[in-house]
Amino acid sequence: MKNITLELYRSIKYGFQNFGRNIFLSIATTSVMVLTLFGLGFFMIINQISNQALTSLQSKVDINIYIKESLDQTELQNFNEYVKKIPQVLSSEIIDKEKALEIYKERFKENPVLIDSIQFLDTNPLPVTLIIQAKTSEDYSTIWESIKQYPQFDTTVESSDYSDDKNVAKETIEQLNKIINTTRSVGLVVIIVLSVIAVLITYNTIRLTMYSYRNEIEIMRLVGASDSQIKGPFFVEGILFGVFGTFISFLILFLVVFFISEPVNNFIPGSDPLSEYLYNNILLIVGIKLIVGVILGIGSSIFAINRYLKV
Amino acid sequence: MILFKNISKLYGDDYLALNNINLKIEDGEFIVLVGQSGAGKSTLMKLITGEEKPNQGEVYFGNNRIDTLKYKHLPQHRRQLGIIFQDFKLLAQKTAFENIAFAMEIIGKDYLEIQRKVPRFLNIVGMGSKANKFPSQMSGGERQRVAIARALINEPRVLLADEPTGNLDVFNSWDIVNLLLKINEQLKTTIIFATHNKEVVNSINKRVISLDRGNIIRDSIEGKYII
Repeated sequence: MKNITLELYRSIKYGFQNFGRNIFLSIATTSVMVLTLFGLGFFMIINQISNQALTSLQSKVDINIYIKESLDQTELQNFNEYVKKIPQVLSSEIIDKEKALEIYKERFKENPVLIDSIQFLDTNPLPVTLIIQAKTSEDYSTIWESIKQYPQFDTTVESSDYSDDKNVAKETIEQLNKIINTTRSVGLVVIIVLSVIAVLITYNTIRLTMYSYRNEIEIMRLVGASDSQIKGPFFVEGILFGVFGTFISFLILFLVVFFISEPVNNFIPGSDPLSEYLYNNILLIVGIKLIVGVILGIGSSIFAINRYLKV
Repeated sequence: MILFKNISKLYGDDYLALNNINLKIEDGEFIVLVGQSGAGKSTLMKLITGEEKPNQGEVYFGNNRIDTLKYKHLPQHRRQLGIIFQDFKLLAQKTAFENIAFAMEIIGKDYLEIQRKVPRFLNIVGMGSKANKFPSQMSGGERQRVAIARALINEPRVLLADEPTGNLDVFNSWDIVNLLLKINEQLKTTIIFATHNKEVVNSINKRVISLDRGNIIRDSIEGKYII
């Protein structure tokens, strides 16, 4: 027991000592680790930005159901209740004729011809409308099918911008879905490829560091050191690469987010500020970096020196 | 006692480094190994440290057979040996003191014992005032003294010295040789000393084993350097 404690103490001591006495090599190795871990954190942020962008895009999608003139309030409420009970529906809102007119005026306020033309009419021509938002944009076809199942469908619904014969909204939504899915899978592939490259570069750097230790390792073996006595300090050095890498890269990430947060948030209106994501997920980001950094540091070090533990 | 029984060692397919060697070295002996480069001196040493395995034959260290030792048992075996090399093999990142202390740490000695013993051995090899120097700050002779102190610190039964004077000038060489003789005399450590230095061999009157192309061609008590 005493020997194990002593060996552990010496491993830690010599891990720090190696790190300090080879300070330039240590700085070089840590820098590569910083780049890798910064990349990792940055990918997490990029992923967050693109998700925010896609979510804000999705929240802009809705479908309009135009209600028949003849329908009375109770029937309208019943229909609204029915729609709200469809599991995929996020919200459903009744826009009455007056509100519809307001929206119409607001939307076309820069087009006096359209505004004038509607004022020539005696009555408000706009129908009562139900605006439905789905939980995800892929649900619209299911929702439309459910609406068609409504027993009084024929007497309730005049038309919709998402009907089988009027395909504009339907096509737009389906196209949007395609773009969103492609963006997500391309993003994932890019992140995986870049991560693999970063990991390989880090491994290679640490391998070169260990290569410079190959004579020391041989000497230690010849003097009678066991493998665990030799590996101990390198294990600790690997941890140091990971820990320093994590904190320095987080610091850089923090600065980068601080500077890009505002332009990005202007670019994606309605999204949460980027920095808020960083603050709320500090532990997650630091934790993932630390785990990846330490495993990469230890793994590369030990894997690399195994080659020199032969005599 | 170290015993080589019918040892042959082949490097690659056709380079015969040792050819059917039979050799017995008693405890406390001082053995000089002579021979040209490639005669098999270093290979003989490496068979004792377990760095090389013979293709044929058996190597005994005391009662233990070492040519069949598993990788994980080698450290335990090597801790009974002190080894000094032509190229010193000091750890570049450690000071003179730390290099010697390292050998004690390996066998689990504690801080107090290390602090007590290392300065004593540094003084024995005449390096007491340079304990905190790194190898890069020492001369060749100084490095070899530190290496000898490291080899001796755990009081090994056997000291292997593979051309320890090969990189040193005449004065330093004689210092090292005298140190080895003293160790053999006073501590009764078995010493196996490989060398090219004819003058040294002829003047110390010890058992000389001459190797030539993997064969023992002469083995004489109080021998001379003849090839």
